[in-house]
Amino acid sequence: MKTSLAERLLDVVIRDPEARESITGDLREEAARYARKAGAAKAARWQLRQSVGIAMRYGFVRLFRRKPPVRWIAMATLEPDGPWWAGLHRDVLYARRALMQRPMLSATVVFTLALALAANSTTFSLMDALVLRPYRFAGVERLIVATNTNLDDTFFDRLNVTAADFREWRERTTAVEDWAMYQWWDANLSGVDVPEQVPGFFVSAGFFDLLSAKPILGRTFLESETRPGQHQRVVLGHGLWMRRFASDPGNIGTSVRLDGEPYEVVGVAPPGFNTPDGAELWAPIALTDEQWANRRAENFGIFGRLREGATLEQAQAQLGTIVDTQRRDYPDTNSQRHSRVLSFTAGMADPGAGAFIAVWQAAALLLLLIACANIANLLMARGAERSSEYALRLALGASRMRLFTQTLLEGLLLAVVALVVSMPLLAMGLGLSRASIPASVLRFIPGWSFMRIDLELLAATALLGTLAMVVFSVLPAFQAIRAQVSETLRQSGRSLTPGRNRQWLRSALAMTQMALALALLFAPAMSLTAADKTVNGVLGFDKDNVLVAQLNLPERTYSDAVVRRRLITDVTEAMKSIPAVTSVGATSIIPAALNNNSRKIYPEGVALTEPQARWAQYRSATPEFFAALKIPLIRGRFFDETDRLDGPQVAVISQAVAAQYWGDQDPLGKRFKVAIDGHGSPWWA
Amino acid sequence: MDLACIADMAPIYLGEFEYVVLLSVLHLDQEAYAVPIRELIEQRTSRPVARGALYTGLDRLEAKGCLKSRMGDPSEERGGKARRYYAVTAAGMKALRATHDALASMTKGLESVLAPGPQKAQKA
Repeated sequence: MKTSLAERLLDVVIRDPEARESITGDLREEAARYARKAGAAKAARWQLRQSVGIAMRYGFVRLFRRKPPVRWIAMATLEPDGPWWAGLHRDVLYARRALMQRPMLSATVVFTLALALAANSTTFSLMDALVLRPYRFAGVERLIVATNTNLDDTFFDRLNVTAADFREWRERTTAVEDWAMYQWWDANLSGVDVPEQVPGFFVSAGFFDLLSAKPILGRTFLESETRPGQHQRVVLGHGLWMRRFASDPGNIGTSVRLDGEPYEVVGVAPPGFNTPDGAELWAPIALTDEQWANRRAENFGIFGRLREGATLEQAQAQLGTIVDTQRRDYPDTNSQRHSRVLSFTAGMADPGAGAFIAVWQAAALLLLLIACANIANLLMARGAERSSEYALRLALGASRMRLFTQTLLEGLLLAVVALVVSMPLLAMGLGLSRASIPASVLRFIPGWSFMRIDLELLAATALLGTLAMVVFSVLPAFQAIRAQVSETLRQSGRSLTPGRNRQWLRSALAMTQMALALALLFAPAMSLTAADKTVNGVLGFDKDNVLVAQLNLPERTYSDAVVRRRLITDVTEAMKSIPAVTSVGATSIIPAALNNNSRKIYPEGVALTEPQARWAQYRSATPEFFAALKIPLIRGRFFDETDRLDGPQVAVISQAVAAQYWGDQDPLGKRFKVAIDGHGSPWWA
Repeated sequence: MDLACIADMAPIYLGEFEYVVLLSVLHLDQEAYAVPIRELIEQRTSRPVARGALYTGLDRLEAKGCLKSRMGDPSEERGGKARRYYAVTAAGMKALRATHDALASMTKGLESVLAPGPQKAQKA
């Protein structure tokens, strides 16, 4: 029914019942006349059109602009000005009425503020859960992460530690009472219906105790299980246990096959525990004496717990001394090693994430500032409109302080309402953020489960809301107490144009708003550009129309290089026969994917110790790999069929590597080693 | 009650549209409600009047004390809704006269220039 829609619209925008009745009646009368001339359908459309017109020109104007409530003013002013709290109750009532006087304006303010607050609390929640406090188990504040660093290498600033170095750290530090170590292990789980590669870690016996992780079933590892031969025990992650073992408590004591070896399940980790890096199963580290003496293999991540009363700085100092000694005593291996002690949270965090989310947080704060400027502007316009009200109150004897607190009170009331309104928006924001992270990635993000509305978040939002309130109502409050009594009363009813001074203030506000908005526009533009560069810019190959398929070959069956080669040839030949495929290449590691394989390069004729050598990403590839990715050849040649297993080892290097090692020289024909003992002759690409 | 009336005892000046609306109410006498008021203005001045603007103007005149209104009885023709009838108050008459006198004195001596031209076509 179009007629009823038209009238409903008028019902909403015209609050005065008499005006509503007469205007609706007028329209009905005219519509009836029109219907006799042009038909009912046309008349109904006409009525809707007219209703919209009246709503725009008459209804909204009335909603936004009302006569000041003389009765209330008198009521509020006649209250004696005693101590500040004497009139507080009255003032709150008055503030409520003043806001209800202009429902659309108040709603606009509330909604603006609620949106800005929700944006802030959402990013704050992300920041808090993912960066500030991703780990919330008992005693986390005393945990540390100890790493090696290489002062020359800013790219890898948290290097793993060798077993021999760690053993000395453990023995000689007093500030740290307990240590744990872990080693990356991509375990192949087999012997179940579908084999699967599971993110796993070898850990030392005290690992779980250090992290206060109590198994929900069974136990963790014993000291005796860290000896080679007795180490084939495993603790399953809660998720893995539910997913692959149907949450069956009977699995404790049974055996699973990992990398083809039998491991006895001794426990199940508590839900949510996936330290480090999304681990789903853990087995003991069992090192032989020879392995314990190894100073080359930087394999181990190190956690520690500070002794009661000891500080991070003490631990860092002690470790620094030990590492200095090690550098002197073992120049071959340790000459470039320095140590670094970080809090557990800082040490386990992705170093980029903090900065990334901080950008969001800054953007959200900017948004809030803009909202505040906007609201201040609205309230000042409203203040200009109410200047006769202020003047009247002053004339009737209200103190200027009273008007000031009154205005602040109105701001506070708006902030409280906005806070309530922002809650569902906040819940929505958090839901969206969570939904935007794919489950496979979520596993690697510690603390995401803390992304929720809790008391702390509410308190933070409330604090922010109050601050915002102060920011946006201080200006209108000052405006209120500067009301000129006689001037305003004489002019009243003439015009709503504010005086020059006030106009200056308002344009200053508008300019601030513009400046902030520009900054807000630039920040995401720049981060988008950065993201674009990362995704599209520096790849060095053409990613369009490239499809990727991944094969995980069981190590046993395909241990022989000849067998592997035959499989790759078969697969690529078969794929080439698909009409839509123009070229097929195979490589050990997909470029720009999540993992990579880096090796240190030792050019021939340059004496480099191991710590001095630079890392380069390394992959093996078929000749057609370059064509498939459209990687341009700069000099020399790509691989061809003459490069065989039994031929000379050849390599194609990137421009960056060539510049780093050979500078101005022609790298074609130069030779380098990728390990201490491998040889190959490079071809320059 | 209106603040403007408390503070401002100076004579009320009418805008052109307000002047026209008041005159229209005078013409219609007992039958002055929004629909015929608008029709009369359109007919006599040959210019369209938006309904929203008219209601705003009527409100403003009432707030200034130049008009008073009463609600009539609900009628079948209007789907059971009542009319709002307007009447010019004493203050309204004073304002009308003041504005009329001001205009008349301003036009004195310009009669030949302002003589009715062909554009003042009257509709029947």
